Amino acid sequence: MADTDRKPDATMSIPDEAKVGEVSRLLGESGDLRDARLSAYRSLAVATLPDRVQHLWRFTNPAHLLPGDPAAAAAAAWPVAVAAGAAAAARIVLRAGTAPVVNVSPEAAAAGLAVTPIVSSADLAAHAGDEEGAAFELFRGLNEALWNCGVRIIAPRGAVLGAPIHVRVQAGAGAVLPRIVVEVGEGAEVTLVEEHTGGRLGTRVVGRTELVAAAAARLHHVLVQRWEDGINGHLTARARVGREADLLTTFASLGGDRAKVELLTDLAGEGARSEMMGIAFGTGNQRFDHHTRHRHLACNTWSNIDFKAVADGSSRSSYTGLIRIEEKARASEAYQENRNLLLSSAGRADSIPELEILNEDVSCSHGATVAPVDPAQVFYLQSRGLAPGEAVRLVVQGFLAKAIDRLPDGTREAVAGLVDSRLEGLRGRAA
Amino acid sequence: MNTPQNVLSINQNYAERYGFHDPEDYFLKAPKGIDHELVEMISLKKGEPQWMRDVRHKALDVFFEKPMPRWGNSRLLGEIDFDNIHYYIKPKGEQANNWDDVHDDIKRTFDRLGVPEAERKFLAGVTAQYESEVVYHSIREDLEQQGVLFCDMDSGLRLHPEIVKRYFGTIIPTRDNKFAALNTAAWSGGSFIYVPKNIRVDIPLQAYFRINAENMGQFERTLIIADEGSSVHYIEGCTAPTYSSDSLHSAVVELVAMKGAHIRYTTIQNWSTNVLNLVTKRAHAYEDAVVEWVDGNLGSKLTMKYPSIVLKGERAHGEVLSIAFAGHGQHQDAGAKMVHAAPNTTSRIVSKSISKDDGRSSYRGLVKMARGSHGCRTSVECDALLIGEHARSDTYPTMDIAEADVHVEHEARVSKVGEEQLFYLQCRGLDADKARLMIVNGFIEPFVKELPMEYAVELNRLIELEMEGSVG
Amino acid sequence: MSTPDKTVFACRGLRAGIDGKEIVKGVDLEIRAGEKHALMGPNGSGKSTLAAALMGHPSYAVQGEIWLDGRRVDELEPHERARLGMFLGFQYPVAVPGVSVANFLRASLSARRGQDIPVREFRKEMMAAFDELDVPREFVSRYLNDGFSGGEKKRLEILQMLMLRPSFALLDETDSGLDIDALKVVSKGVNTASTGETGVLLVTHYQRILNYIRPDVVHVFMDGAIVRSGGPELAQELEERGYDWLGKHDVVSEGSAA
Repeated sequence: MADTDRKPDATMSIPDEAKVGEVSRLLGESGDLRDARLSAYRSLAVATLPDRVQHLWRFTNPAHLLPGDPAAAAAAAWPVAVAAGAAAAARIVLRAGTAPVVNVSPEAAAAGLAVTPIVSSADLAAHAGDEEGAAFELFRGLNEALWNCGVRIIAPRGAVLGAPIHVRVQAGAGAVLPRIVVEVGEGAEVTLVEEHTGGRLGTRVVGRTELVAAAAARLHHVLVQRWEDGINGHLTARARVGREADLLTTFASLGGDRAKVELLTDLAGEGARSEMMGIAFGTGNQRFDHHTRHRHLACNTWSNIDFKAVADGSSRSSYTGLIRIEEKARASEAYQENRNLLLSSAGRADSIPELEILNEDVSCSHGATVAPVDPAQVFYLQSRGLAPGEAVRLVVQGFLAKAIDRLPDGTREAVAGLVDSRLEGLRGRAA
Repeated sequence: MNTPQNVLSINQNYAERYGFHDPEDYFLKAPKGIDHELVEMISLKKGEPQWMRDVRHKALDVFFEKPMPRWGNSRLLGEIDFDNIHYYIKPKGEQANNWDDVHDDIKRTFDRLGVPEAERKFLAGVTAQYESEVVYHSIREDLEQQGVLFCDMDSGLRLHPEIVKRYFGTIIPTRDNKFAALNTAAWSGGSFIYVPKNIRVDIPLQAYFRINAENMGQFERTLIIADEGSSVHYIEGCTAPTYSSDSLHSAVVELVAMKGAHIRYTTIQNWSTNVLNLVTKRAHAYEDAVVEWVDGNLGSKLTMKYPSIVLKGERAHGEVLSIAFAGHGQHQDAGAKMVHAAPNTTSRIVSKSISKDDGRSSYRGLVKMARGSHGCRTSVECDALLIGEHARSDTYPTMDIAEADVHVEHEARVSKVGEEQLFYLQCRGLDADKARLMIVNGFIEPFVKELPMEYAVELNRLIELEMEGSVG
Repeated sequence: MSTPDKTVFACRGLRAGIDGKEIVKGVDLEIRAGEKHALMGPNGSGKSTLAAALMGHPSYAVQGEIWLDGRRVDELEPHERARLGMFLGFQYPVAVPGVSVANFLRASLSARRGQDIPVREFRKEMMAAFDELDVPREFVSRYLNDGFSGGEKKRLEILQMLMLRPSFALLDETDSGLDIDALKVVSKGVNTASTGETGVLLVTHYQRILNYIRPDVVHVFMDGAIVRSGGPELAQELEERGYDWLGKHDVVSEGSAA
């Protein structure tokens, strides 16, 4: 398998143990948290880069995503204005090496929403011990040991938030390793918009978001990545969905040079549901690598993932998706669809949808396609007066519409706008 | 064809080095394990030309050097004790098999399938010779008249060395994988077929026609060359359970379909459940050629087999149609590989698997559209049926697409036997077992209808036997 | 030759529910040889549940007695009921890919007769049935209901009824999804297939089919029970006035005799 990462990208190495202490001091942490970090770092001791034969790392060289120095935070903390705009239950801004900037609306506070910095190892307990698999250990360990900005968000039982919680991870120069811990209590309803912005050439991001949706909770997790050019980043969102709980994950990957996103969902309680819809739009030499994993661990669980990627220029979208239905997860259903649209002759798409089904009482299917824009569609639109570039633009918008429509107000317009500006470039092109 | 050889192994006379002179003496000692001495003796015994002997020695070095594959059923692969296997002739004592000792289940299956007496004894390993000389001879005459070459691989090398030398190891090079290297070192038996230009062989050529136990072995090497405009259908294996005392089978099959040629290769494998069956099969299809692999995996404890086709010429077309049945204790790890290396080529993969009791069926596939594969189209369809609480199905497809103006489609479905279908058939008087059997037979129908009639009938009957006593 | 006094089908106190919810709330019915009864009701009344329950669909919890040709069958499996002569014509016949119509028909017929039918004899019978119902011969090798249009599926259901010669045929919304031409063809098939010995229960929502298959008795089914029974003119009344005028608790039986 040819390694397509031929760009002269700086491959950084794993930071050494002293950095753990440095980051901890930078954030002014308790000894307890520092110890938790060290313990995580030591489990990285056999830290070799993951095996690239395995599909998970087949398309991306993990060395390109390693962070640089997590403690070399941008010393000049520029003033952050909490953006005005659509109503929000809370606005949070994370920057490397600083405490989170938090603004909770009175209504959300009244409903019981709590947003706090991470102060003790107990705050990180929700996902502790969850087995992920050897291939995920490196980046999990890196974030657990070296995260340099974090926040904990708790919606207590029954809390219904009328507006989304906005978390913005603002990358600067250097490395930003955000850690976001989210707990949605029984029957609570939360929308969390996690937006990754900023950065410049050489910035590295290793982010980790951990979500727990308790019984009957409803959580909508929106992950929007719109980094500047020149950034390499690795984002993980790990979710555990409880009995009768509902998780909707929508994501849009638009920025950076090399971006790898891992969305790991465990349907842990009976009747748990996970719906996932996402898009990626690549131009220039961008590389997107998405991995989704749905593990059905209980009966009557349901999952559906719909991922649509558009590759223009010489960009490449790689997708690996695993649905695993355990023997005890009877009467479960799982569906997966990955459609790839290639706009240019140099665009590329890889798709590896995988199924591991360990009991018969399931209904499960997946589909993947890779194709250029259908000339029949373009011709039809041309016959209604549209120029070829216009026609292609319309086709692409239609291709991505369903996923974009699922984004919450505010985010939807922002993402649609970003996609549109990319499509502007198509106007002048011949079909 | 061969890469530059290691200087140390060229023309090394291993026999002299190790002090052996007479292959018969050597084999009477019946060693297990494989080393250069054994390889030398095999080649000398067969009276092979030096170049083949060199190929074998070099392949053995590659076999020792290469690691085991890190995917597939690593537990079972890890259990292979290479030093505890006979790689060539077994001593007489071990081969002796009494019809009375043959398992009752096997005998019952033969009965139900209507397998003829002579065939039964052969399949059960009781006799070493399959008596079908009469049929064989008359077909052989027809083929000779057309200029078709069809014999076992040993004879092929002996009688047509220039053809063999030209193609042997060019489709599956020694270095391809550990087991291809093992086969290249230790191969014996298999078929050699050459079809001249524009000759269409009307009857399917079957491996039976050159049968004796020595030729139907654990390291078969098959080479089929269909010259321009020709067509041939080859069938290997059979539906009836086939006993083998060898626990490791590692065959290599190389096909070449020249411009406008058509090769269909049908395999139905039902090895006894002591066998690990690791096969490398690949075809090169040139301009306007068509290659079809029709692959049925019913037996063995573990089969790892991914028939592949490299579409090297424009408008070549490749198809893989496979079924796998994994019953109790079995793992069928099968699939297909399609490499589109020329424009306007097309391919289709249809894989149907049934996992029953605690059987495991895995589909492992690769569709690759290389640079330059403009205008290519492919579709992959995987369907898995699970019967029983502990049955398992995996699907591991890979799509590696390097051109934009191609069409790739992949679809997979996993389910159990449909409740509404069962009810419908029961409402027409079929009891639950009969209804389930009918649904399962319907499930594999796209495969069965591609088989010659007698195989189709046998396969349906065999499925019926497998389904008996299935969980309600 | 019919035996008008012979009851081919009866049910008493039939109840059926699913997931703890009762849908059929006590039905008594009796159908004699040669009779055609129509069961009409609005959507959601439980008509299809009744049909499925009578046939023994495993999803439903069923109570009450079901009699076929004087024999109790409510404890029997669906295939046992089928072999004894009960036939269910499905509203949505499910596809069974890869199974040819010919294979399927032969298996069903053999089950009904209790022995394997020799191929040649079967083919003769099958072709005769095809011709009688004007079903195109190419259906023989098509896969069961796979890719069939609604009309094709219904025609095949009725062809099965003709070949299997049941004592009691339960036709669940045989007219749904059919245009007028298909309806005529299917109706003709039902009439051909119902001999003087067969009892038919035609479950339907619309009166239209009853112009072609004339019922002896019409029952109105609402909210899980028969609320009214009458002669064929009852169907006409429903056509003109709809179902609302009957009301849910208006259980008036005008006798079940033709």
